[in-house]
Amino acid sequence: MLQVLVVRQGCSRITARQLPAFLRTYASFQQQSSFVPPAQFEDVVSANPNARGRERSKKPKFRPWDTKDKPASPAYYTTRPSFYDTIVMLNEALQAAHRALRDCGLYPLPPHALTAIPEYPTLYMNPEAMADMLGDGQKLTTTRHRRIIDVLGELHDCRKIARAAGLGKLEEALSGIIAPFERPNKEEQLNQGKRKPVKFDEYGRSYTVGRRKESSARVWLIPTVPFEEQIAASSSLPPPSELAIQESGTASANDLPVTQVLVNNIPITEYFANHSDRENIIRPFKIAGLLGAYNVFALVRGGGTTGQSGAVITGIARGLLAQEHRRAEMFSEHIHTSFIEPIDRQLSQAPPPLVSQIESEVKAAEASGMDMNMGALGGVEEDTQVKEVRRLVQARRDKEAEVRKARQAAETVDLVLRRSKLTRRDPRMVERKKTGLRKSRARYAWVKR
Amino acid sequence: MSARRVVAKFSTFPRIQYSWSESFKLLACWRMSLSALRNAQNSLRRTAAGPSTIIRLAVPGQQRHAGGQKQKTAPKAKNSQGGGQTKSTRKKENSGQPVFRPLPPSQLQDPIFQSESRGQGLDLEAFNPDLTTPGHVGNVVAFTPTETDPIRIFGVPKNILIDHRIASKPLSVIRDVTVATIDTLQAAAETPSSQTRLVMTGPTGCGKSTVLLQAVEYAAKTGWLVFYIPRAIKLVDSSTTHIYDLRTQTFIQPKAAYQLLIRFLTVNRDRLQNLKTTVETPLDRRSTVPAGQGLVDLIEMGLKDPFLATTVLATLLDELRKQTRYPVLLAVDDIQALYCKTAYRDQHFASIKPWHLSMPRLLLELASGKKSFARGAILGALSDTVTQYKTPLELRRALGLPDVAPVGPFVKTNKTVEEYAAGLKALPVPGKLSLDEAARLFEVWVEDKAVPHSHDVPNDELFVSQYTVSEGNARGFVKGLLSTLTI
Repeated sequence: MLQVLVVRQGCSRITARQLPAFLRTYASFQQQSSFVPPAQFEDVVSANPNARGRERSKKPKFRPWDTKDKPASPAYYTTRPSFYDTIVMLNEALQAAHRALRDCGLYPLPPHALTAIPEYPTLYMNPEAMADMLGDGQKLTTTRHRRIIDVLGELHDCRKIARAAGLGKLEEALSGIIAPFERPNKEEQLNQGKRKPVKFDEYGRSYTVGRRKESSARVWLIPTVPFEEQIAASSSLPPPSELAIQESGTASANDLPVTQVLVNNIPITEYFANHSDRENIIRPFKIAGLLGAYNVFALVRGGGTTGQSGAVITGIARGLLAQEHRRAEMFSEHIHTSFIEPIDRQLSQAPPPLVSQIESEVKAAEASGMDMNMGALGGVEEDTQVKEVRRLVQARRDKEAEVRKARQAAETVDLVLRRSKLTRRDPRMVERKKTGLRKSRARYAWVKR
Repeated sequence: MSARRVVAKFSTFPRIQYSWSESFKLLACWRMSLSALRNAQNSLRRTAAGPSTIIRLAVPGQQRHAGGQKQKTAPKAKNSQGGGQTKSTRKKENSGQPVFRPLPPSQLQDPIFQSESRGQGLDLEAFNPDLTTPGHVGNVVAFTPTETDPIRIFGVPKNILIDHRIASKPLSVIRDVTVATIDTLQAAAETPSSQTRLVMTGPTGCGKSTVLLQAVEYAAKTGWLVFYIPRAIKLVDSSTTHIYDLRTQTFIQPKAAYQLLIRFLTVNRDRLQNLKTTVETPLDRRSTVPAGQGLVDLIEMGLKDPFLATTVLATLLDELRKQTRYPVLLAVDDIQALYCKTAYRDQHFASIKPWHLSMPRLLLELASGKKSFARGAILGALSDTVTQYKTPLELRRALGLPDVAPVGPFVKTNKTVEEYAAGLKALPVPGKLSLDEAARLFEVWVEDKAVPHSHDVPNDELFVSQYTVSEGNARGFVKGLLSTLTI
């Protein structure tokens, strides 16, 4: 696209450099004659701005070929217009991103900062898919594909920096540019080697699989008390310090939930004759401290008694991990919607500087370990608004602490179960018999002759 | 006694050749005085000696040799093997696995045992009839057997014997089913026994024998006359002699009858003093019992001559059926054994039916309602532990229990067995201990330092994990606590 500059002076003068090559004149060009074929001009104002009368009111002559299907970009004249347009667009976007990051002081980053940026993996389309997307109707060669990928890679680096720096809008914009070029099954492929997330059904039952030797078990874990009830009960409870200590003599243990385990629809006391097999099955509960929290239903096949119990154990451990994470998530969600969001709404009505001041006060007080009830030290009078804001801020911090605690509990269970190696499929299998040996390791009796 | 015979008798001991003089000395050592025996027993922290020791000491010396058996008085009190068993079977028992017996604190000197802090033992209420009300459900009570307690005299089933040794005292927890059983007994005290014929049923290890024992204890303490047969299998497994009697045309079991008589007399002596025979009955060609004779004297006649024991027992039961002064409880554990094939053989090596043996016949007649006490009840309990005497199909059907194996219309059932099983009602014992009951038992064992543990104190996790693993089953819970490796 040529940009033609028009000099608004007495005469329309175009410098030689702006003219296309075939129109450039040589030294012998007579500058006085300023004739240029009209078809070469676009949006040209009248040659004589001082003219009056009929000349001035003259409109430029309508030339039909001006408005015919003009190509949107000059790449139309290439064999792969979409590709070239894409390259240009991506490069422009990259320059804009660099400009934006440079304005924030984030580009170029020193090497130690680059290494500190968290990982953000992504996968781009392969040449066939990209060719389809571009719609040039031509096969995308490796070189051309690589050119696109290179620019996309640089854009992705900018996106990583934006994400690490918390520049939400920039990250969004960059995602909008890069996303069409990412593989549709990107998530699936990136998580290929990792453990898939455990599936839950509408009743909150987790489904996991465990294997040991030749046995495989399908295990469903069901909370004895549904999570919704637990959350409702916990939110209706007063804080522990306010609870009256109940007399132990009148307490009944009959209402406590007890873990029941059914294997192939048979209780474990009947299914596993070995006491040790039965105890091993409840070991994940003991380690996680969740005895009585979940009931187990398992379908096992293959192998012998201990192999089947081992398979069930792995399934239970994996199920416990998933259930506890889900419980923490549900709890935090409930706290956010029922407590933190209303508090935030109320706080948004207060002046932000006051809120941030009180927040920092509260943080400092907590850090120094002071009791917040001694807030008004030195008899300083606070007006009701400040008191209200302080109360809300404190309440929000308390609720956030609760959420943190719940998440930490789930993390503890996670850590403990992983350290106990119960989630790991025991890789020990029966070793094969070898030729020349009586069994896998045992040799035949040595004979002197 | 020759040296060779001494060696042969002690074949389980390392083979030591005794000389004549040495063997006499040994004999002298073995025959200890009553007081010395009691001292030995007290030092072992047992509440009292077991039934067979008591009976051996109560009966005059010559009667002990009536069966031509060698008398082996143990140097210290050996624990009883329960009722229905005679001296001839003790050799069999001793050659098997030893029954669990905890060492007394006096022998546990090492500080790890904390013997000095055991104190006086458990502070528990003794079982008495007032504790069997609904308000006491979940309470743990101790059996404190007196001199004439049914537990001591009649004995208990083997698994209960072991259970009683877990803590320093025999313990039991009052359950809902205990209260229900005792309510039934209270109501049955005024009615004939044919109207109250109950059999405890339930899954293996749920506590049927224990509930029966609690009922027996209750009856003994509330003025009932108690017949308790803790191991009915011993009446049908050919462990006592059987002799064909032409008069009754049945095989009599004199030793078994003798044992039952002496134990019954010991437990119920006070009440029997007030009862007398009502008709003249011939005992044998030799003697008759006149009307108006005290029942105690009648029984003692039977004890003097063991071969009369069966007739005396039959006469005694006839008299007891007529009297209305005291209600009579007949409690039989392993009652299914009376309906199974017995191990007795006749001269043709055919299996003798239980109703052709004197002891099972007496019990079957009462259990079926063909004969009935004027006041009283018949209680039984099934047992799954001995697989040679499983509950037969006829009894299962009579009690309304579900079939364990698929049964078609072509399976043959015995009409006589069905007759003897007719009218028995099942009293289901819940398969699970409730958490409260299990928790109370656990607390008491912890107090008594009877639970093995790795922490300072056995904690809730041990309790809950064992309860979960056993699914509340009483035997599974106890066994799990004692045999767990993951404390």
